[in-house]
Amino acid sequence: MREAVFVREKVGNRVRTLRFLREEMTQEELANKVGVARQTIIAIEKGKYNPSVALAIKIARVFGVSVEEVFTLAGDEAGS
Amino acid sequence: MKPLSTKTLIIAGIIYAAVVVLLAITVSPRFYLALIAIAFARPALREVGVLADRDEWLSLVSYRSSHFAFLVAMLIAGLIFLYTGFVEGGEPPYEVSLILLITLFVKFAALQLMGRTRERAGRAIAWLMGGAWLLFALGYGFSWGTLIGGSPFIAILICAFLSRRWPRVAGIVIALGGVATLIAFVDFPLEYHDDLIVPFLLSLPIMLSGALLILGDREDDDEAEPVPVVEH
Repeated sequence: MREAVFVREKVGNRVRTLRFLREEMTQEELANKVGVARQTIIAIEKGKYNPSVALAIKIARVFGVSVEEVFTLAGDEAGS
Repeated sequence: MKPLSTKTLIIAGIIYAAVVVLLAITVSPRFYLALIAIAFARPALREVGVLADRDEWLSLVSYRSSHFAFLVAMLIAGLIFLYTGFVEGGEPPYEVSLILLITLFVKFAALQLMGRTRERAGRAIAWLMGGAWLLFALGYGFSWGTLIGGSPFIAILICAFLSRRWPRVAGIVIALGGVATLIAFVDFPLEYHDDLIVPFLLSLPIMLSGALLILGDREDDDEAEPVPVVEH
């Protein structure tokens, strides 16, 4: 029910994994780099919120990867 | 609008707080107006883009929670309206009717204005106003008298229909109709116990509809502008 309130379509993400692969970047650090609140990063990682296109691109740029390597539609595999 | 800087907001906040304290000390009734302004200032400044203190997630959470609060408020007002009107058989409280109807109209108008072009929003409001008020007029019983009483609203419905072909002409007629109702049925200055339903739920919405049709645009019409093709 809580997911259904904010998320219309299931989008998977590797934000948490990529954070740890980038010298264990914290949620706070990532939030500061992309200009959002820490709660926003938490909501994205938990799948409660699908970020806007602009925010998705900013997050991908922080990790130095493409948007598709960070976010995937349900049923797709990341990076494939 | 460009967001104000933090320094500007702090200075404005200090001046505002000083005014509120002054009013409180003098025990002025305007103190209560200041309290209401405090409650609505930040949300209002966010809506017009002056205050940008929330990111997209926090904004979404704020909007959704406001929506739930709106639904609860409408439910309570609706229940009071139905209970007093039908169960007790009396007149629903005037203030409840006003809150219910104005809020529902603002919701409808905001939906139209945010989701559609100005022309379509204006037409939708004209259909709503013409149809709702005609039904209200005919609610007293169908007769030549009530039909004549409802004729201005029939005229609005005709203008709404014709606005598809001649939006600006229909808009001018509708806007003038709104101005006419304001002049004919509203006594200025308005007082609390005057009939506020006519200006806020008849005149102003009709004038808004007319203005939108006059200003109208058709940006969502695919044939309005050719798609630019870049040749590589």
